[in-house]
Amino acid sequence: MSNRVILLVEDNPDDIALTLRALKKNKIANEVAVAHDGVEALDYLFGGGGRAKGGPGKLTALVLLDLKLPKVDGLEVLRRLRADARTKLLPVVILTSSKEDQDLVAGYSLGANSYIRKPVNFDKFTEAIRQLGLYWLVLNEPPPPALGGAPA
Amino acid sequence: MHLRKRFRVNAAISFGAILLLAVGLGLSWHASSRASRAEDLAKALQQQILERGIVKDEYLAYREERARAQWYAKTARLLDLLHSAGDAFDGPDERETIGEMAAIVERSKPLFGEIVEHPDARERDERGRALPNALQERVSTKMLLLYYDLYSHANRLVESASRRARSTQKTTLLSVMGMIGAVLAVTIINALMTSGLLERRIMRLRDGAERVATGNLGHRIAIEGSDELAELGQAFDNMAARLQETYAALETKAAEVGTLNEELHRQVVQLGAANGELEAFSYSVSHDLRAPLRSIDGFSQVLQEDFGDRLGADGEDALGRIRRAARHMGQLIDDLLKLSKVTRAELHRERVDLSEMARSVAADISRRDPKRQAEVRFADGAVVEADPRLLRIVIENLMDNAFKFTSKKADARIEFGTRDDDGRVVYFVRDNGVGFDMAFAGKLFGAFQRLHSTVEFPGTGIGLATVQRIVHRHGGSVRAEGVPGEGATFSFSL
Repeated sequence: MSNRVILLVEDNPDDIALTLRALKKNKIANEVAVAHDGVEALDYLFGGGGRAKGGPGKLTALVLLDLKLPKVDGLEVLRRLRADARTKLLPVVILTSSKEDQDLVAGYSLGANSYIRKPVNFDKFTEAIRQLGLYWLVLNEPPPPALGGAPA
Repeated sequence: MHLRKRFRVNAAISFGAILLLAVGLGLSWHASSRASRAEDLAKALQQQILERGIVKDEYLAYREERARAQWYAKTARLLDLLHSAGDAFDGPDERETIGEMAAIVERSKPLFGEIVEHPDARERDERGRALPNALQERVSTKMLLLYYDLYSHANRLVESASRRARSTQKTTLLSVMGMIGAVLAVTIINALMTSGLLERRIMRLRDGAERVATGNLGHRIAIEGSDELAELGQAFDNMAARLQETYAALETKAAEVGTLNEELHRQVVQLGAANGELEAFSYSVSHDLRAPLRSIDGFSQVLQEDFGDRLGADGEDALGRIRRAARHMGQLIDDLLKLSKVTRAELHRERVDLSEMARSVAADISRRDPKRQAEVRFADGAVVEADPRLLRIVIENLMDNAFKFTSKKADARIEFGTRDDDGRVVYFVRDNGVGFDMAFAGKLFGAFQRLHSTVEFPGTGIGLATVQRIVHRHGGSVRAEGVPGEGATFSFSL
């Protein structure tokens, strides 16, 4: 499991640092690729310039997706992932500050697997990341790659 | 002219014509009766002349005193008749004839006198009749000539009178027919004029009424004259003018209403825009304000964890305060957003069991803090028509408060109940916690208003403001009663 990559799509450097710290604190050793906006995320997943970051031959295990992003926003990224055969079953967890109903509804409608609101309290945030990692990286059985579970 | 007067004049004209006809008839009758009287008189004269001739012959034959007296009497009678005939016959020819007849009668008198004065000169036949002698022969011949002359004069009179009677009859017939024609003509012309006038005016009234009815309120009938139809036209015009004024006033009012509506619509649009901005702002607040707070709290913890040994106790304390402040601010933002959501959210009323809801909320609280000991009682059957999501926020806030403010009591008691307040059902949450001074009761429901420090009891001071707003949105009211140190009761109706 740990050879697979977690893609963190997040534009706030503080949140990136804290998320990475929370992952590390929870002993989630997977490689983490960071995309700072929607375009970078799509490039990473569909073979644009950012692909090299993940390294060749690495499978993406999980996408942690912020909604408010420069260039292409999180919901649009999600829509394109779900529209593409290679990524339509890729687990995507929305990780955002927004608790607006419309964002929740839009996120789930577009096929998000989970929707987590980043708590202000860092202890709670760390706990949320721990549970996320446990569920999606350990407990959950991913779909086989042949079905488009993750790009090769 | 008033119609009534016109009708009266018409009637008077007809009456006058009939009267004229009657007078004409009367005059004709008079003329014709005069003519027939003249005829009768002429015939009477003829008769008298005839009889006088016979009496004269009788005297000549028998020389009787009776015949002589009769002759004189008839002569006097004849003269009388001739004298009075001047009235009946007034034509110059007739008068001349009468004059000649009177002269002939006068001439016959001396001749008859001669016969009377010479009685001896006579002889009689076997039947006693006197035989004519030469004198007698001469006188009687003269008298016979006079007789014929007189008789022919009388005949002329009779003919003249008959002619006159016939012509009078003709004149009468013609004048009666003429008068009947004139009366008919006058009556028909009058009727035609009157009905024509009436028809023109009534048509004008009708046309005017139709034009006004089809919306031409400025149209006026303006019938000239001073009769009832003109008055009716005037009344109609007044009505139309009044209608026009009213309509104009109405249009002005409608325009005002239209302007007000536009204004209202603009304000609604503005309000919608403001609401949209508020929503965008809330979204921004929820997203953007929380991110730095997360950084503050997160990196404070990084400091604590990674550099705790170098911070010392004061540094630890400062970091703890920073983290608590950041979390409190996060809570404030969340509560404010909730308050704003409560204001904006649409109401979806349905049947809600408040008793059940209170039980569930209390169970949640106990689960979060299992160490808390409190005796909680619930009244059953509090069912209302309300928005369940918003009502849950109300119950959560009131229950949270009750648990919070009884946290320092050893025998905490909390009660959800209902009571009847002047026919209105009132729901309440009562506790035996710290309570409050009623002097501050008014401040409780304002946002950010707190009666206790956050050290004593944590909170943002937004919960009761949210409760009040939800209750108001349901059309109800809230009330708070409390005694310091003995507890508080928060009640609301919907």
